[in-house]
Amino acid sequence: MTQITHLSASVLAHAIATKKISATEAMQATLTAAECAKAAHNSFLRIDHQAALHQASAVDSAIARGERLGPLAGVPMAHKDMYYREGVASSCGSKITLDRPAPATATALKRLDAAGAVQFGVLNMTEFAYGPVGHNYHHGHCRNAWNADYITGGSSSGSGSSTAARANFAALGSDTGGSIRLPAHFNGVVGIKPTYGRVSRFGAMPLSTSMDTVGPLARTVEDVALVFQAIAGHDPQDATCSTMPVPNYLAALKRPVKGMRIGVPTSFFYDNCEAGVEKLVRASLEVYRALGCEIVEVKLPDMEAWNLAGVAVIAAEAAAHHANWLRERPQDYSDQVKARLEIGAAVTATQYINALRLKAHALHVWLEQVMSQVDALHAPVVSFATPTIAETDVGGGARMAEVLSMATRLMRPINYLGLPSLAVPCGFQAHGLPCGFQMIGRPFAEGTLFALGAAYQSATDWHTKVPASF
Amino acid sequence: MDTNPNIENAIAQVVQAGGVQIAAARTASVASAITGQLKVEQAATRGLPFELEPSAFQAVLHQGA
Repeated sequence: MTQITHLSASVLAHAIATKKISATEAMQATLTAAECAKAAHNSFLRIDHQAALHQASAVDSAIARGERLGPLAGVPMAHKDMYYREGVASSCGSKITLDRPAPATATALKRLDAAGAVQFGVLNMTEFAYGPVGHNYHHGHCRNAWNADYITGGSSSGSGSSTAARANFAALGSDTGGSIRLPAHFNGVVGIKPTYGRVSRFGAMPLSTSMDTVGPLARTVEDVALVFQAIAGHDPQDATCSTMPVPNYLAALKRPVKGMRIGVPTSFFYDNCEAGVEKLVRASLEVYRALGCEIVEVKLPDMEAWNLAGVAVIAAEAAAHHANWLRERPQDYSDQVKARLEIGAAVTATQYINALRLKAHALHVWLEQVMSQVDALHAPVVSFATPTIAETDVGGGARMAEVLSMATRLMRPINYLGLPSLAVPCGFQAHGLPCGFQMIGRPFAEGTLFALGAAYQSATDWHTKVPASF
Repeated sequence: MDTNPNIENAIAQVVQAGGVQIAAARTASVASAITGQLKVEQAATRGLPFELEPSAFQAVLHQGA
């Protein structure tokens, strides 16, 4: 019999709703797996046994009374420790915010609560979500679920690692420059970076308000769509949140992909791409060809300039948010995060404003030149083989500098353009670590990405692979 | 990228005036990063319409749906 923790969130939700598995059983199994993952990978910062079991029991009682519950009723979830819950302090991966109880609960958490999900803990993350490899010098590095010597990717490190380790059914992450898609790629799970404004950021720790997005990671595209359906939509508490109607993403999963046009970039994304990664990503294109999609080459605009403009925006906005703590508590930052924030303190106001002005122009060019030809653009998430923690840690030498400079290169321009992008696992590299591709869509076309992702997973079984120790 | 020591000094002064203590060894690196970004961004923004403002982004985003 399949272990409860190996079920997908969608299958578990159905099993709980139909009384085949109780929410309490599911929570007990998840808490056991979470303690193992915490010990092996340091993916959890806190596990709330009592509160989680109490809530799971309440779900079971409600089901027994015949109450109509939400689509995630009884599904255990833990989230990146930057989503505020009223009265509880979130670490944000730092030690600065540990004594700040939140004044209000994040909209994304409220919506997941309303859908019936049961939060059972909080997950490790990069300090203040400002770093791409997943290290944390205050709470200890998070480790890859497939091999604990390797990086998880960041900043949603615990979200990727815990979900891959079957210790969590789905997790909220955040993506400002790749922080959902990178851990999805490195840990072999699915992650959606939504369109800017599709999901409320109210109650989520800010890093760069012009680039921050909130989205889920899970093991299947269906699970990601299920969670995304619960959290997407307008929120008057977030002024940047769009009023665009939310479509039925679960229906979109069944949309036929035959005849869809998938773009393959002729520049930028495959520049200096490691051969093993390129082979896996290009092989996934052949699956789409077999599914009846049309694969077309697309010439891209100048992505490097947009990437650098994105750096200026993120750096300046992050430095502004952190200005007071940088002055008053500089010793409480790790050297790595402090060094990134220093760059933002030196970005000029004119440089920042022009980088924001360029965004509208860049997106217009992208829509005209790229999205007018295709339904989605297919590309690698990263261009290098997964490195070890040692190679990317302090003293990691040349490999450290190379990885840090390359890690967000294929990510950040998509945040700058505000576009949705879905990361999907597509195989394993020579050293056994997972690899994924990203599918980039037009604004608010998450449904198209879910259709394409679900079609890929219906034709492949990469998402069913489980790390050996689990 | 090489930078003018005067630029490095000016950037360090600006950052420190903002209250952020920047290590001397880091000043050249920050100056190099900022100078490099400025060059590329200035080239990229040279052709922007005079009237274009940052808030235009979300309008384009919604039009592109």
